[in-house]
Amino acid sequence: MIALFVNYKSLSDGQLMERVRRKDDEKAFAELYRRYARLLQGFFFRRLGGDEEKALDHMQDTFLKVWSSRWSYSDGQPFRTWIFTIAYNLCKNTYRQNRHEQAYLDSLPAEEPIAEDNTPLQLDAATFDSALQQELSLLNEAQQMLFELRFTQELTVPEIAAIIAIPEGTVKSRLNTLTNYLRLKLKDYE
Amino acid sequence: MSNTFKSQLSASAARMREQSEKNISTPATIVIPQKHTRYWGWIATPAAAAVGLLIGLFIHRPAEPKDNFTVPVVIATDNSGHSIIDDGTDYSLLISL
Repeated sequence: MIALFVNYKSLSDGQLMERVRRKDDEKAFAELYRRYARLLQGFFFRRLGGDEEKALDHMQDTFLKVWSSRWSYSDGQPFRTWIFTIAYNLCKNTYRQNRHEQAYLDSLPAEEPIAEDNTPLQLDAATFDSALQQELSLLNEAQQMLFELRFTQELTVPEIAAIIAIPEGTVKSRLNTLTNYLRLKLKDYE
Repeated sequence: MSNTFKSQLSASAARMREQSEKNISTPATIVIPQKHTRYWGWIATPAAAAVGLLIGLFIHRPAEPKDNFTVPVVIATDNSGHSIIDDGTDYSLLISL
């Protein structure tokens, strides 16, 4: 029986992408856009130095890439991993383009660490967030990306491994290093 | 302790995410490029082939066979209508051919 009316909201990401790939279904594409646009724009916003315009451009580029590469999506492939791989690669390209700018920014002296004095720390969430943000800004792009994918996007280790195209073991060890580093830096805020 | 710290990181990351996405305005729709023209290929190729075939058939249409035709044969006859040439040739057979 042919379904005349499709409830796109009830379909999974994979089913929607399958319709996009097989039937050029624009409504399915629009539903995927509705689900992921904001998420990706936020991802680019944080990863590209809080530049709203860049974040918007990159988000749209990601979706255009999804559309133009729809043939390369294979059935059963996790859509979230696939779209984040596209986003990650776009980010990497931008980092490469901005290498000189980044090198200049990296050469700037680090800001003074928070809470140098011995006044008691206000151990609330906002303080921890601020300290964490400060520490994250001092990390390199790869470490920041790893934090974003693991803690902000809450992706699993296998998903991250697929996105960055490195073995799962390497992801685990990098995550351990990163977590231990942050724990050391934020020990006063725990 | 380790899991507590990781949870703390996750919670903080979630708050930062919420904060950074709060003021983001995402367009409601995205303009996608025109549909790929691959369908036209599927339609145009057989259509062109069919038109070509029809034109070909029309141009090279074989002449229709004619059932009735006349063969101008002049045979000298006498008053009674009989052939005056009597060399043994059966002209009636020739005419019928």
